[in-house]
Amino acid sequence: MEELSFIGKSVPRKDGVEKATGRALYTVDMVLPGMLWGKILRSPYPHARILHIDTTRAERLPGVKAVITGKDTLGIKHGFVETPRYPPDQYPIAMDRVRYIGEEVAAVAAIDEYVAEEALSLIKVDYEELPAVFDPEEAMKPEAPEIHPSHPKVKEPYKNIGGKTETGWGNVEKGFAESYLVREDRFEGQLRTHCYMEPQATLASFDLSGKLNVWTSSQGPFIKRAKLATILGLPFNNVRVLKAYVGGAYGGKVDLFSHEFCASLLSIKTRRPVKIVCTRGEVFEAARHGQPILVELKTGVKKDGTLIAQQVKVINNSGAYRGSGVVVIFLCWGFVMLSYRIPNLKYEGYSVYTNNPVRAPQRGHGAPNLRFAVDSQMDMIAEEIGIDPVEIRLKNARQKGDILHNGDSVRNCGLVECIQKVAEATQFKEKYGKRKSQEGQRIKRGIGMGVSSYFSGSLIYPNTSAAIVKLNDDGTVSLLTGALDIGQGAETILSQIAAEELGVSMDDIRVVAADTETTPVDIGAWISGGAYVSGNAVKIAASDAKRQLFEVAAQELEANPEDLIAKNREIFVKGSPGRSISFTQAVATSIAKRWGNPIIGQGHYRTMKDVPAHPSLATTKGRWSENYAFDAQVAEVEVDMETGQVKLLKATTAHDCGFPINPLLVEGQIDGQVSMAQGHALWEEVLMEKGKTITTSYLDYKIPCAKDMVESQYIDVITERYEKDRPYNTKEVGEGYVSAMVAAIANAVYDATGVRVKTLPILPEKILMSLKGKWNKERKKWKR
Amino acid sequence: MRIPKFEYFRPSSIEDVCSLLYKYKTEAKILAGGTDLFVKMKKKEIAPKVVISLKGIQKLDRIEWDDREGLKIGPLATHDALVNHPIVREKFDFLADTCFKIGTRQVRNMGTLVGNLCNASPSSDAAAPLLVLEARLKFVHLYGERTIPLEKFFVGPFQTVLEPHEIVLEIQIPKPGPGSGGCYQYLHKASSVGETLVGAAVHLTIDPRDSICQEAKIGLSSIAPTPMRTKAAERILKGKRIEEKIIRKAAQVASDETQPRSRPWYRREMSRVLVERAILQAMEKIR
Amino acid sequence: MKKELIELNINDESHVLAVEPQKTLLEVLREDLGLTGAKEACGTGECGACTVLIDGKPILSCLTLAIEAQEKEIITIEGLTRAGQLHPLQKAFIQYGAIQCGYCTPGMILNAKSILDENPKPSRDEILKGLEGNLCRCTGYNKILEAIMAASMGED
Repeated sequence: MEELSFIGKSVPRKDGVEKATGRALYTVDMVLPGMLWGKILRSPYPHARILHIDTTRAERLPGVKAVITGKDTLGIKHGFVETPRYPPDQYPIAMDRVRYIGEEVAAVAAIDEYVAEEALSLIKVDYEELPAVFDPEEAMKPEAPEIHPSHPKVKEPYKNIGGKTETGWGNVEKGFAESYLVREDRFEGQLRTHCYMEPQATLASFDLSGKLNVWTSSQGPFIKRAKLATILGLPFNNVRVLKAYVGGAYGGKVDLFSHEFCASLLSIKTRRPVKIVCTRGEVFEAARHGQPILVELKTGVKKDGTLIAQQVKVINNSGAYRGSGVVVIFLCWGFVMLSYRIPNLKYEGYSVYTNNPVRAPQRGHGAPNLRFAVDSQMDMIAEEIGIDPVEIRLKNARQKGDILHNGDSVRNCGLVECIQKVAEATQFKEKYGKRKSQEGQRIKRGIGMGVSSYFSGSLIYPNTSAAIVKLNDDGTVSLLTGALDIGQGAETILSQIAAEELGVSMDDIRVVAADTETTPVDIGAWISGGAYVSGNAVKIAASDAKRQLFEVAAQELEANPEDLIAKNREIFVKGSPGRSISFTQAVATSIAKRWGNPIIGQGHYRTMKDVPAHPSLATTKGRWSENYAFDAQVAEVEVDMETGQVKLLKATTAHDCGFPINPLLVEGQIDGQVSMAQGHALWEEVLMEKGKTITTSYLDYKIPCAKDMVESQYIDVITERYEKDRPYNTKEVGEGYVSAMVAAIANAVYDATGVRVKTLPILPEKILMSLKGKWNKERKKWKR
Repeated sequence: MRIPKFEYFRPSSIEDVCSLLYKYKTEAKILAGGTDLFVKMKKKEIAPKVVISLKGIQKLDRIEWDDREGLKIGPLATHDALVNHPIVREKFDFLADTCFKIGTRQVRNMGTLVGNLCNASPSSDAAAPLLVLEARLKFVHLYGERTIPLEKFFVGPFQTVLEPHEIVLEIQIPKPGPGSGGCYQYLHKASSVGETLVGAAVHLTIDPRDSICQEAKIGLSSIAPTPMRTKAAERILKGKRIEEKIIRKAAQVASDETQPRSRPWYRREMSRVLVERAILQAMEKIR
Repeated sequence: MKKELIELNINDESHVLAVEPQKTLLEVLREDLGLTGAKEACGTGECGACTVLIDGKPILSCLTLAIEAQEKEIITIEGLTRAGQLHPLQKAFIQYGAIQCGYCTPGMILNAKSILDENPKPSRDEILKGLEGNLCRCTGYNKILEAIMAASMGED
């Protein structure tokens, strides 16, 4: 097989110099002449009717250029999901009702932030408070206050149901009856948040030709454009969302945000650019955090640990609007059934409205909490029947060639190899189960494993990715792609693909990205399809450009196009290095002799080309993905039995990502996700009190700092490869490595302490309180 | 996040500072490092009309040792200056260690020890070691001065006895006696940086001839509305030979003296654990 | 509020500006001088993204008044590149994959520079302790540590 020059190589990232020198411009950095500053007035009540808003005093304040409220909008709703079953449900600015503390009620544009803030204080809003509910199980009760009517298709007499997912196969009751052991457990995942370093920010500029230009910190410009254009009533070609560098997102910047709409509308009204930058406190209080999930899990196994039946109920606290709640309850089904073979399954997921700020996807979108539940219980089951955690997972692991119940084929799957390799690399079986031998030790060690799987690309708007490869006169290349680099290295890996196809160097390629006016559509950096979908689109576009070049070159060199190879911007005849023509010559020749064709290659790609629509979020019928990623992770922890403090010493990740286009970037993704898992498992929690956010800064909400760095080891399990002459298959690496690690940490804590914590985060006092009686006895043997 | 507007003064003498404080009283705030002041102003917790900077005055960053009177620390001495100061390292190593724990590297370059005390956070790391070292604070105002023990300084969360027209001119730490040593043990609220969950400082003086504890001082922070000494626990240790059972009892008594409001069970438990560890470590140092 | 005329020495260049007292050094850099390398991620002193070097020491520019930054040598990330040459730390960060979204990078590199300037061969723990005030959500800090260790070894 031919050696690859760029694919599979740890090429340094293309935007590295920009970022290392501070030249990269993020939305927060951008300024335009005449720019105004915008600020947003937010509801102080979790649930209230808006009786009256008086903005006259604010409008009259010197320096204020515009004030907007709901009445200035077209009254068009938007939503994370916009389908017939789940139509958009949220106004960009509240109209007659607010449903969470922080909901947007008005916005102002002024000459500076001081004036804007003063203007907010001059807006008078008369509210009539309504009863509110904050806990999802309380919100489901018939006596709960109604935030929205329950979804009409949900038959149960529950209140405040935004959506339901119900699916299954086989017969779980029969399965449980036949089980050797049945366990029922409840697990609770906490409200946690993304903590992207760049806050939410938007700069909107409505120019005199009637076009709205928007820079915004996002995860993909095309979905933002679609929503903005729709709710502003503008044609798509009059809304341009341009590329800005993004300072982190992790799922928290996909939704359309009110401030993006407000900046746009304020700009339209003032005909001046308007910038809104949310403070960190505002991000904590009113931006969208990760979906908190309750999981009730009933599992039955045979005597040897093989799964027979599983019954799952998931309750998601989606906040005051549907948001991505109806997606996460669908995904949780997937995260249950992907990793282990389950002969009988009953799955129910409810997305419940509460008077809390709306929630959003957060790296893993349900998988971390779900795998925490499933894999914690797997360990509990394993212990009860007397087999070890590795064995029980190998018994049940998804296998290559399996056909899933929705019809998806797991064409390849390295999960078994992942489990075996990670167990071997960490000497799992030797280290596991050594609690007794550590009796009397103040510092105890434990080891735990988790398994997870993730989909790579699915059908959700915009369903396709396209790219253009333009040759310059001297043979250098412009790569136009709608893909947005949010830190994961999109521009780098796409350049690698183009460079590989065209035989040019990385420096020969300039990427023009993520601009809805100049670059073709892309699915966005939030559906786990960057490497697979956007990558294949670029590959096809580059191949197309190469094909055109080869046609010209073949004529000039009097050879067959199949006998040509491209390298270093030269086209050679295989076996006759003397016969060659440079790209420069080929382009010039094409222009001169081929009716002015300057060589523009184009390509597009989509996952599951033969499938017309996305799967049903409510029933899970339909194809979900055609590439599934798998991983097994092991956590090694140290617990101070006196303080309950847990230290994550080492994380080992064995992953089937298909093949890595850029191993260095993949390692970085793994490290970052291990870090997020550490925070998720041990410390992070957004605390809320009756709808009010208590943790409003990095002082209160602790993410890992440098001193918390975890030693991270990576094991690649390669199950795919780059195909030279056809689309390649590969899998995602950006989201799936949080979940198994959370479970692994929980299992490792159990291994060290004998304490099973079922609610995240695993705070030290949760461990100590469980140990209280037991530790006091053991303490007598404790050697200092 | 913007700092709300204010009028800025940069006097060149302490007298001028006092005049301004006398004039503006509660409308004025002193600016030393700014790491607490500007955060509070940005969060709209306070809104002073006037900010009086100390940076125009010479020698306020002094860290001076006198063989009789002990250590004197000026209001602009930063945490970083204390961490690396040879005298602080030599005479009060656990205070230097505490200063190394406070905040972050950047905050230590900017923030001052006096400022930390004046901020009077219930979880102030600086407070506990200074309490057990029996530090005193000297305030000045336009018409005079007074010196009080640090123990009498804190009256509530973020509240001190400092009058609006007064300014802290120095921290005085008496010379420690022979056979003494101290230690500060702490736990973070979460992760490895940031607010302290519980801080425990212990300072012991042990007579080398009979190993009897002459003096015992225990200070805790983040377990009550203000940092505090746990005197009942101290009495358990004083006059006794310190060994396992006494340590455990003292630690338990110290824990019982705390009044934590949030995560109370865990804070009380950790008070006990950290006091034990601090006593043991202090003893190690003395040996 | 009345503005005051101040002179700031930034990256070896002198800048004279008129500023109100509450204006922070971070705001002057970003909004008056177009030096947007220093960032705000929190504004309250916890994240370190606004770190600049003042007289060689890492300082939070979001809590520093511009009027109090006079008569000092201020270095921002833009000042690290000399005559078009990247600083060894910048090269190492790029080479070792220590940059993902890049938002924490300027503050991180400047703080790392101050650590190495103080102690050319710091231990792993000394580096991690020194960086405790620079939050990163993307990288888990692994490759940041690798890059700094490599730069301290003089590896190019």
